[in-house]
Amino acid sequence: METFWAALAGMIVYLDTTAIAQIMICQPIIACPLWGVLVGRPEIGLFFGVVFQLLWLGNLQIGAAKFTEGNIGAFVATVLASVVPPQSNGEPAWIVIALALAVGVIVAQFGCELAPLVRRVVGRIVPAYVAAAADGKTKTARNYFLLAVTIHLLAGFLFSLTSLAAGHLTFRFVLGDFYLAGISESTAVATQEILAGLWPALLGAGSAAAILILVRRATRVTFLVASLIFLSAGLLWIA
Amino acid sequence: MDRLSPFDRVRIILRSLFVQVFLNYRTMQGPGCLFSLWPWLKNSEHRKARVARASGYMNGHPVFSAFALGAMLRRLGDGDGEANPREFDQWRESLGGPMGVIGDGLIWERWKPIVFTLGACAVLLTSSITLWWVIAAICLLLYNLPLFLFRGWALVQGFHLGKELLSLSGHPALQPLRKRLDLLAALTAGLVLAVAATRSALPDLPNSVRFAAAFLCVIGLTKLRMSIAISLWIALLVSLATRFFIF
Repeated sequence: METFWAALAGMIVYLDTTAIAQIMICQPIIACPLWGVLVGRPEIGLFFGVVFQLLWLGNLQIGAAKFTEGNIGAFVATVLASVVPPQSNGEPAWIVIALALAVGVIVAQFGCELAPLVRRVVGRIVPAYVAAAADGKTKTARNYFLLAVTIHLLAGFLFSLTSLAAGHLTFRFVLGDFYLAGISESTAVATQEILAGLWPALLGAGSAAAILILVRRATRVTFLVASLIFLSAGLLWIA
Repeated sequence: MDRLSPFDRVRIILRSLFVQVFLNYRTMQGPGCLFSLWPWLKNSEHRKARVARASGYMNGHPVFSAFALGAMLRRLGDGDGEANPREFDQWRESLGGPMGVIGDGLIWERWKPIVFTLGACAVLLTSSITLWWVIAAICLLLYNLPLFLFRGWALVQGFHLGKELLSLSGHPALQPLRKRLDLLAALTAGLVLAVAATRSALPDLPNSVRFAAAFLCVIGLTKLRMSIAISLWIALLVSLATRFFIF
């Protein structure tokens, strides 16, 4: 049942990304922690919210260009990681985080084809919508508008649902049949040491992705000076 | 129609939130523009011609479409669409370039990354779900409030300028605005690097090496035109492999 609600929420993420309003509730830093709060795993939401926000910052929905569905990918990763109970210390196992991250990135890549497909389908009803408007048939035109909205809703819902189902199958394949009850202590311990390095690696990759979109040739010096000042302040703060 | 009442403005802005619902590869946002302007076109005696003019090819940033909607409403109301349909179509199609380039450059490439990177930095610094509610609300307000105010202004400007709308693409405020946003973006980039490094790596040496390896991999590989996803995989592998080769 949680998968159904998650697919509905994924549908809203999809709608806000390109089709309706674009008020940015779809952004990972908003959608992922919100889901985390709803299911009682805020730490998972905050983790994926920050990581995917930085990673997909340069993912621009410009014109007719294909773009990675990074927002849905981030959301799917959060949902998947939050279904596995935490370890005895209250923290999620790194193997779960790594697996959810992998699924999230793959879902985002597959999502490249979603918006073009929806645009082609919507394109088929556009002539009928324009003809109805030209004839002054307000009710018919409204119905075509609702049909177009429904196509977007269905696309977002089905893509989220399929991604979540594929994610659950992947979890089951890697973590075993009873992953929903928690992963075994031996699996967690065996992978913990190497995967604990994921956090600095992900933030290193994320900050690089953010810098690539934020820094221009003309502002490189400003960026370097700002980095040095902020890094010094950070080190002083730690000390 | 001489002026837009506040009610008209709010109504067009709300309808323009759906301007991308009919997005398609042939006419892009054109049918969405028709949807936004429909209440002002449906009772016109020249409805057929005006619907054809409003629904033709149009593409721009969704927020900047408010300019085009205001200008189109003015010109359609003045009867330009019926008087010279070919000129009207060429004019409407020519709006797409500047509305897209300027809008995407200011909003997608600058404003959105700045606001949400600052949000991510704030979440990293606080790591608290209670404060996240405040950060999320501030991010959404900071991003949306200026854009909604801008939509209202753009609509009125577009309506006022009509055919001369394209003269705005050389507006003297654009270049300084871009420069200021670039400066803010560079400062934000410095902040995110420092916050990410101090929260995950410094002063621990192995974690600092992992952070630096992933950072340099993504920078280097994307310069070689690899996608972020592929760069990420390689960066993570290299970063995790440092454990075997260095420590």
